[in-house]
Amino acid sequence: MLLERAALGDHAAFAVLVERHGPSLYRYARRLLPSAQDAEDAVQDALTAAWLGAEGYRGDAGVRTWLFGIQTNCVRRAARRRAHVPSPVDDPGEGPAAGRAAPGDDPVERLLATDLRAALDRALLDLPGPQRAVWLLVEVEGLSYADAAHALRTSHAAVRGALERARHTLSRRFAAWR
Amino acid sequence: MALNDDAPPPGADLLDLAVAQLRTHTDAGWVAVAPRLLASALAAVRPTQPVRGRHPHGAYTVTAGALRTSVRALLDPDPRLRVRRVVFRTGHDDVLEEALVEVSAAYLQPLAPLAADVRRTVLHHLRDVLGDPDLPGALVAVDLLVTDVHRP
Repeated sequence: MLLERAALGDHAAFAVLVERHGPSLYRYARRLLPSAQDAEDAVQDALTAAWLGAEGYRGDAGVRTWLFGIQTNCVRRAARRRAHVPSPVDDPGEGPAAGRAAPGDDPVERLLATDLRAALDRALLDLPGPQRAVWLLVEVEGLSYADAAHALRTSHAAVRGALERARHTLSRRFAAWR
Repeated sequence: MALNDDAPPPGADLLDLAVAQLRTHTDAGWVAVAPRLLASALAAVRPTQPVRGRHPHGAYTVTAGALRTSVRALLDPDPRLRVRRVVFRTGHDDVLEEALVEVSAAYLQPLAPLAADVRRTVLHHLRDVLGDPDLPGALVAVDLLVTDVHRP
């Protein structure tokens, strides 16, 4: 309904969509691209494409899946562009692990949460891009195998295989972290 | 002792905790740029077909996108309905030939009077915006499809 309204030129409806899905799209892009600037550019491209393409949405996938499909294309384009440009080193304070405080008032709990997330972000760097994308879509963003396959334009079997390999690699990294 | 094949791999419990943290995490980068990215997306102009209007001093065109937005804004205050889709078809010289307005009706709403009201309101609006008071209702068909119901 929100996307239908956006297709009718309703800015408020599109703003609600962005409020709802924007943090996830950014979280996804940020962990697939080497810098915050790249992620920002890729999300901007995706939101613009979603706004311009809202009229073309036919409902053969859920809105969230549709948005992640657009975001995936924009990330791939950004990665191709990035392949030709030297990668600046991120400011440690601006890496994907930096962010809003984790839930909970206990400082120890907060610290552990931040450490865990930072460890996960580092471990994710060990995964090849396609595996990382699958893992993020299914494990973090909650897409089904079929929806992840749709967003990534690949097969159900490819998603399953990539996910299994990614889980194995990440578990090994976390076993070492322990 | 053999390891149980069904046992989670070492590190899986910590990984699960980390994933749970990441699911609820909002990157500071997003918080900083969200308003700008939204504004930038909304500033993008959708490509859209022109629709010809008439004026005593000559012809002019209105984009279908602007026309669609104006029809939506016109019908939005009506609590009996929700606009879902507005489509225009133009013919030779960008003259409007058909307008399709798709709405969902409020729960228990009498449909026939609602359809008639929408048809009349949209036709009047199009005549006004396109500068043609004689725009024939039969030629410019406003089809109304009731596809869903909602609570007002």
